[in-house]
Amino acid sequence: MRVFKKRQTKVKSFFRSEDMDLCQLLLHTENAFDCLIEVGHHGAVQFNNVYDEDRLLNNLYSKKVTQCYELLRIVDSLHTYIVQLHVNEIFYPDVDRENRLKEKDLAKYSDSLKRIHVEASAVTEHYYRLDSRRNRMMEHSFALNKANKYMVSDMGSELLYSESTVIGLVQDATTTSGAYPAHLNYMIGCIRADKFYSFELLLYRLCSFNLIIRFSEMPSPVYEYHYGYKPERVRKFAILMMASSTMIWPKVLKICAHYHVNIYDCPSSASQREDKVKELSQEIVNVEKVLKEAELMRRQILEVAGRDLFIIRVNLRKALKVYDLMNRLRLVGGVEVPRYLLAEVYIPSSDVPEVEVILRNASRISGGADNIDSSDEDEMNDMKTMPNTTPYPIEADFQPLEDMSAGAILLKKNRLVNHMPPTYFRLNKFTRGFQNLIDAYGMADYKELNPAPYTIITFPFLFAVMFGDLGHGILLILFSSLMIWKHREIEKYQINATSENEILNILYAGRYIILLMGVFSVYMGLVYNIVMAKGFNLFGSSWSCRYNETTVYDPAFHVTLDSSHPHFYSGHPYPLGMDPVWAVCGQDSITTTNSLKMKMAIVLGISQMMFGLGLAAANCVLMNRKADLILVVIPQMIFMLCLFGYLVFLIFYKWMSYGGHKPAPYNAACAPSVLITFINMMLMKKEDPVENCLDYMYPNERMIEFALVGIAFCTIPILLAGKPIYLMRRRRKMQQERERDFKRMRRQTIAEMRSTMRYTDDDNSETSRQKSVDNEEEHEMSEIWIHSGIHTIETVLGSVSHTASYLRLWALSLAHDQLSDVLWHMVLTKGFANTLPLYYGVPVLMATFFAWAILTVAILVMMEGLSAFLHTLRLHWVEFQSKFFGGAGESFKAFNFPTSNQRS
Amino acid sequence: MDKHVAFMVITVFWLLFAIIGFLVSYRYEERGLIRCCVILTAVCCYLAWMVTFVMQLNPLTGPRAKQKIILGMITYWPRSIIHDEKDP
Repeated sequence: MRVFKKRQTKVKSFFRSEDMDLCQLLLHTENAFDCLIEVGHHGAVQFNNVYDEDRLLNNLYSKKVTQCYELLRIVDSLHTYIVQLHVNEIFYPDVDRENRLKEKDLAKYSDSLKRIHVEASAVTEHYYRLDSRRNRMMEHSFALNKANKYMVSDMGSELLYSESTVIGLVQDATTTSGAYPAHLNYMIGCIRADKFYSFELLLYRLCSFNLIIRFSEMPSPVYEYHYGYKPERVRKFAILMMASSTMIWPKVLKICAHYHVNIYDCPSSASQREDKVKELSQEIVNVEKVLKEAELMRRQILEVAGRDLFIIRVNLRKALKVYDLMNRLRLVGGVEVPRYLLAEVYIPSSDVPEVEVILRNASRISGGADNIDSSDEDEMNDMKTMPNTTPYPIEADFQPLEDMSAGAILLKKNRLVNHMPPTYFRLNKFTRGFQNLIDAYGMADYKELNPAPYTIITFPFLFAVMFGDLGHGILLILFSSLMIWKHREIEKYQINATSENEILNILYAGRYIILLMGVFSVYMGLVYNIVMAKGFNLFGSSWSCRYNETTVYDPAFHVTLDSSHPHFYSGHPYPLGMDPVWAVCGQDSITTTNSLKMKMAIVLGISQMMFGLGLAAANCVLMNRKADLILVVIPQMIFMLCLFGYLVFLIFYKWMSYGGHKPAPYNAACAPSVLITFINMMLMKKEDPVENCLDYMYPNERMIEFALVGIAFCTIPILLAGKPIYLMRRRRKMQQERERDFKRMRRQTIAEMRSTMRYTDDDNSETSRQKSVDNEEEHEMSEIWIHSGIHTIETVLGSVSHTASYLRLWALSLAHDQLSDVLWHMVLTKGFANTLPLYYGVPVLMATFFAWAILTVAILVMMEGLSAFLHTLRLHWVEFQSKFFGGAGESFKAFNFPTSNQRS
Repeated sequence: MDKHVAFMVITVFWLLFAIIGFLVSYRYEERGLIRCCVILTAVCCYLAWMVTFVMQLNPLTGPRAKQKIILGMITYWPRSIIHDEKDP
């Protein structure tokens, strides 16, 4: 019995949304964290009203939230170090199962993270300092080398370039005869390459020719370290500045400080400079050894950090989410210190027992028990049934629970709420793709009929009507089968990939849609008799050519096969799909296939719209809206049937009654146009009959058409005024009942004063009825009339425009067929028909085949497939779902942790 | 193939498809969904086939062909022949 009920529940689940239970969740502050962690992993509980903008926080967990943010910042800092050194950070695909978070783990994470962070920061700072010191020594050594080379080799030629020096020397010679030449002052340093030119220009403007600058670029860029920033690789210039006077050095030094030039000491003699260079080289070697050891130590620390960093990051994000949620729940309970958190939640009815089990297990694990004892479980079951059966006061409920480590309580609410429950569908990997198509348009109302089950077949079928080609359908089947077959590898790739592939995700999510699209395209390829633009002849054509020799071999022979003669048409149509003669005789086939596809589009479109109206009727029955059923849906159905159902009848009647091989007045000459007949019906006009033809398709045609038009137009005032009048009358009746209830309530108040503490069921029913009345009075009558008018206009005009909209099935089918034909005749046939020699002809044929194949996949399958997909989507969203689907619901947003992957 | 036989064969095929699918669905838990898919498939495919079949039942006009096409049909299709009678 239980198994049968369970199966019945599952059978019903997808056509309408799941039953929702409004519950109150009471959590003890000691184990609320662990309970919510388990709830988040299960993902079947929606917390109401906790993420509103005006929600007040209870501030009990604000410190915890801040602590989690701080720890995540440390994790990001360590991650930055790890990325810099290209250390391997280990990825755990099963972190959600094997490393499930508990509240006591957070302290462990905090301690280990802080310790590793302190060590990593210290080692990194030490490394940076050593590297900076090495860089400065390298700069110093390079600058000394360049200066020494310059001074030793070019000292004499310097005098030729310095005008002021020459003048100075001349002056010295005149004052003291025989004195030594003047001693040049110089200074060396290093500057960033991007700042050198402005530095040089500034010094020239300041000192003119009194200062001479020579520069040379260092062989490789060096790292610069600034606190709080990433290490930066910069190009450096070594500079040598020489001046004849010492008076300008203070200014030069100020400018050097402003431009962050590193000034280095330079001995005055060549031998001292060489000794200094050797000393610096030795020191650089020593520092590099220490630097290598520091890097090894740093790498070791980061490898230890990288071992667990992924787990810590994932669990910290979950903890942050849980603490934020706990901070938003309402505090209830104790007098001085609150001990309980209260939340209003929606849970699917079928998941309530499972959630209760999860909460009980989380409470037990939080209390320190790791094993499930059967006696404890039985005791828990006994305690759990008590709150539901016996209405004890609240204190009595809380008292026994403290003995059992304060387990969580889940109570169902039975009161009426104004807010509509969220919509939840239980899906599997096959149905999720189709449900995503519907949810992109709008979420179904609670307990509203879901279009997705019907879309599973109608969507691929209408796509195939546009795309129908046996070869292209096979390509779609192969592609989707590959994705279905390799689904485990694709999922593993999606989890492990460091960057997201959006196109692959979309195609993978829709792989079953693509499979069904391919299957139905193969079927429509059989019906259209098309495989890669060519037809095939399985059953023998119904048409034949039987001429004598003189007629056949006449060079001017050009003939239309006469459909009225048994030599040409056998009278028995091709059993499956189009006759292959239309693929062979290319000139007239487009007229015939257009006629077929237009009428097929009309027939299928009107069938789908009538199906939608049938679903609207079913929806009204299921939701107990008889007024909507009788006053809105049935008039719509009558309107559609009288006008467009009659159009479908005309199409079939003409096909059955008129034919080229039939005698007058049912032959080809007398066949009326269905469209003109339909238009004359709407305009109530009459045309003169053609000679030797009847003026009607069947007896009493005009009378029946007038009757149908009259009935259709009679339904319009019912659509317009039916529901508003009904609501007005009902509201008046409700008002009268409310007046009577008011009198009775007044009387009951007097009775209540005499006997206190007395409750009756009538009060509850009256209260609930009054609340429902209040709901309806939210809408004013003028609004209802306006809405009804808009709906009537939409129904009448929409029926015409939606029927015309289905003609896109013909338009896209024609486009696909003609494009396929163009590719065949313009690309591949040229390869077949080439008259080149063999060793040229075969490569040309191969090239044309590859061109044809690539263009077939790129244009006909991908672009045309996407176009047909979008048009099918519009046909379903607008033409089909507008008949019955409101789509104004809210989706069920469970408190859920997303699956961890490489990017999280 | 005779038109009545062809019509009967295809109709019985899709009818059996729907009935057998309906019966097979009882073995699965999602029988409502399977039933819905099977019946919709049968109705859609039958409707598409029937429109094509009825449209070709009584053609108003025939195809127009050139001499090359006529000779091809006479060569490859068995019901197309050259005879000695007078042409209409």
